[in-house]
Amino acid sequence: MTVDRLSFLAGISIASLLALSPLMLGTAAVLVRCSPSGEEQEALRADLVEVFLALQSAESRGADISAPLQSLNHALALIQDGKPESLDQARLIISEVNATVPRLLAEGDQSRLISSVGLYSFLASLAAVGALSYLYLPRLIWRSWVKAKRRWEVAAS
Amino acid sequence: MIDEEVRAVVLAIVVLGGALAVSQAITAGRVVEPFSALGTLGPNMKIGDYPKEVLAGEPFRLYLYVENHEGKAMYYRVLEKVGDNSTIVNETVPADLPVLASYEVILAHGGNATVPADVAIGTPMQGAKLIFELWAVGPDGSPYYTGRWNHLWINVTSPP
Repeated sequence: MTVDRLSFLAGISIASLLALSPLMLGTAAVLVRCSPSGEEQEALRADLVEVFLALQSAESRGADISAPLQSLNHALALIQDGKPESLDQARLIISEVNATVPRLLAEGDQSRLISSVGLYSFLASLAAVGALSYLYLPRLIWRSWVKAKRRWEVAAS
Repeated sequence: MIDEEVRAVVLAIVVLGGALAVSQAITAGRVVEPFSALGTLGPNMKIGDYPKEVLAGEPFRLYLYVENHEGKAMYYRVLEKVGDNSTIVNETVPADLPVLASYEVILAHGGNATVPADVAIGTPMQGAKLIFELWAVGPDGSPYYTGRWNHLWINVTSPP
């Protein structure tokens, strides 16, 4: 009889535990979410690092990233502040900067192309100036020498 | 005969000038010796005037000066740690201590920043080694130690 009662009580407690378990899990999840916004800050930091690396890549291609870097610094300060509204603002800034990355990458490619064309044109013009100098400079020097010594008189000794 | 000599001199000048111009054109804008710098400034934002004695748990203000000459934008993290005279920290090995605080800044090449740091050391100790290490985010997104660090010796006394 006692055993039956015990098993009955055990059954009730297990059933109640099972019934309450979703609630308990929910509470645990809420606790994790409500725990200091460190997790959210870390997630935002990870996003920021990703955007920063993309900007670094655009910079290596020749894009000007000074303005987006300032924005990222602002986002960083907001993340460090840690308040929910600051984190929301930081998220917005990061996504805005992220949206500019494709344009910056294209700008970087264009800038690299322009600088390459500039460099090769400079080298080609340098080679042309060198060849022209080699060919015509002696003649020019002699011509100007003769012009400078126009009044000289040659006397037979 | 003289014409040949003039031609040779012109050729030498052209070759020298050309070599200089080409090297300048190719290396223009490149950073020959990239480096990052970290400096710790006292409460008056100057080198010196560092606190020698502080109360445990009482925050005091220092400033961290970070400068970027790496030739590219950098994401820096300055880690604050407290050790003692047995703590090893050098150009290759960061201090094996827990991080008490971190200060972060993103700098363009040639840029610098002075970041305020409110430091509080919790436990009283004589000869506390307050360490600031400069870390940076690498190309793969993970932080690496730049080999730059500063440390201050401070006596931390218990509050009255």
